[in-house]
Order: sequence, then structure tokens, then C-alpha cells
Amino acid sequence: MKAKDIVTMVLLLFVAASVVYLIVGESRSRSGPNEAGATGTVVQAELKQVEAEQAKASEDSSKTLEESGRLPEEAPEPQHKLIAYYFHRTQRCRTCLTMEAYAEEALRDELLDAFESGELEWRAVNVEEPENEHFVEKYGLTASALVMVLLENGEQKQSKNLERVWELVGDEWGFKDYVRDEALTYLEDGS
Amino acid sequence: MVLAMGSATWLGILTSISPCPLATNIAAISFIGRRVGNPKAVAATGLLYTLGRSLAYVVLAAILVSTLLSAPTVSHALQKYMNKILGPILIVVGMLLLDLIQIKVPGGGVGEKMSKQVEGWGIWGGFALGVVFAMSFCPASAGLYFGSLIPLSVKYESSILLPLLFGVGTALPVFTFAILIALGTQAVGRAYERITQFEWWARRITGTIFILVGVYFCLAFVFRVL
Repeated sequence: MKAKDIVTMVLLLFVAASVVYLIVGESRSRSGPNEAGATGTVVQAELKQVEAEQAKASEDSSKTLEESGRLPEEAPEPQHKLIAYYFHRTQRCRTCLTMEAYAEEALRDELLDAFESGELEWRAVNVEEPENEHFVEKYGLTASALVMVLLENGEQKQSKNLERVWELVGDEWGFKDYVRDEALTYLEDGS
Repeated sequence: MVLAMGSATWLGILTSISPCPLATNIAAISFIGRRVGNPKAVAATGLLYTLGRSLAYVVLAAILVSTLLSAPTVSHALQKYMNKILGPILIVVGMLLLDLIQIKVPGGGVGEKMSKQVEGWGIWGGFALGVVFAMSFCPASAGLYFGSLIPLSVKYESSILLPLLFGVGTALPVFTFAILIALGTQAVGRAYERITQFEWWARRITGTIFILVGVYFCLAFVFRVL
């Protein structure tokens, strides 16, 4: 068998394997448990995850206080809370990674107090994960996006997709100023 | 409106020079510039590639503006499926360009090589490539098209002109590079009187690039190992 024939056969097998893998993967994801009643399941899963995280955080905080010999104090959840969501897909591009890094840096460096008091939270979310797909329609996501969501007593009060991030990503300081200013506006609105 | 036209073109150029469509841009440059001995064919292929891209963006914008289809759903679906389908397509086209496979056409030209047809389509292959590559959105191109261009088109009520200019912008750097490479190669080929040999190599290089880019797309988007 000639080398040309071997290369041809290997490539054809690779193409066939790709097509079969693609079709099987798609049919599996369509017939998966997330089809029926997906939203309900997703919301329940999210709530459970949040509750588990809160319980763990509370436990850790009590332990730290006990270890330091201080009496545990009530640390109430802030009435207003701003969540900065960075939505992305599984396949990351360099621009998207840069955008995520700039946004997180802008918020953590310049709004540290809000982070420490729990008024501001950063969440990076992959919208290709089945449990996160609902965010696409909820916030009208067409690409990687930075969305500010203001919560009042745990309920979403308002949200904003910072659409200028794509336009400004080439200008680090312009981008960071934009993100910080938008977050500040929301934090002031909430207070 | 002039400012919006400039913005649309610039958004297209930004899309083209951002790192994420690099693989498809390399494939497009090699496809457009492969007929190094025939600058007219290179120019015609480049123009049709530009037209293909522009038309794809115009039709998509018109569909989004005039129907109830939601931009997030369309964007999500295109990003999810087009890149997955693109890998196997590029490998098969690369194999045709390298004469590794032939497709027998029923009736008439039995045994006629598909690769000859691909070569014969030549410039029209550029159009098809433009349409397919335009619809293979990566995160940066989706962000700039759906997130910046579509809102601009809605604001200026221009669902044809602005997407058209965006398409021209996305093709411009690719077209320019292809012309420069073709002219440079032709000049060297003429100097050594080996144009035909250069064309033979250019076609082999194009086929190899298509296969490599196709394998990359399969590994990254189908098998998700990259």
C-alpha cells in the first residue's frame, strides 16, 4: 500500500470518526435528563448549590471566630447585592480571556470594600454547561458577556449587559474604567 | 451615517485581525492566493470571497431584523454547530485539492475528478468559502457582529449597507494578504521561470493547510481535546 493511500485512509477514518462522535454526542445531549422540566431542575440545582456554599461559608466563619476566641456575631446577608457575571463558552479565545481578566481586576482592585462586605460578587459562568444554558435567553447573550445583576433581598431587581466591553477591550484602562463606573452606579443605586 | 459606515467597516477589520479566526483566515489566504500564475483569478477569487462573506452577514442581519428569531438563539446555534461541521468539511476539501480522493459524478463525466471541478469552480469556491467562514462564528466575531454591528444596524435602520460593509471589513485583510503573497510568489517564480511548479506547490500547500485546519477544528470543537 502506498503512503498516499495510507494517508487517505487515515484522514477518511478521522472524518468518519468525527461525524459519528458529533452525531452520537448530539443525540445523547438531546435525550439527556435536562430536556424535560429543565428549567425547574436547573433552578433547584442552583438553589441547592447556593445553599451548600452559604452553609459552608457560615461554618468556616464560625470556626474562625471560635478559634480566635471571639464570640460569633451575626453577619447578615446584605440587603442589596451586585453580582458581576462573566458569561463565556467552553471554547475560549484570547480576547475573551483578556476581557475576563480585565473585568475581574477592575472590580477586585477598585471595589475591594464592596467585595469584602459581600455587596459585590464575581461569577464566571460557562453557558455551554447544561445547567447554565438558560442564562442565554434570560440575559439575551449572543457572545461572551459581562452582565451586572442587582439583587434586592435575594430577588433580581435589575440587570445590565455591558455591551461596550467588545469595543473597549483593546484599551485596558478605558475598559476597566467603564466596568468600574457601571458597577459603582449599580452599587450606589442599590444603597 | 458616514460615521456608522466607518464603524461597521472597522468592526469587520477588528473581527478579521482578532486572534480567534486566525485558522480560517490562513485557510482563506492560501485558497485565494493559490493560483499564483494568474493574478486575475486571485483577484476574482478574493472579490467573490468578500462577496460571499458580505452576503452571508446581510442575509443573517435581514433574518434577525425582519423575523422573530432571537439573536441569542441564532448566535448560540451558529457558534455551537458551525465550528463542529467545519472540521470534516475542510478535511474533505483539502483531500480533494490534494487529489487524495475523487468523487465520481453520475452520468456524463464518470471518473471526472472532483478536484478538477474544485479547481474549475476556482473563483466560485471563494464565494462558498466566504459564506461558510462568515457563518463559523468564534467568540470574538460573534461579539462584534451580534453585540456591536447588529445594534448599530438597528439604530441606523440599515440591515443591508452596514452588514455589507462589515463583511467587506472582515475580508479586506485576508484579500490584501492573498494578493501580496500571490504577487510576491509570482515575481519569484518568474525570476526563476518556474511559475507552473510554484502553482503546483501552492495547491499542495493549500490542501495541506485545509487538512491541518480541519483536524484542528475537529480536535477543538468535536472531540474537545484542545
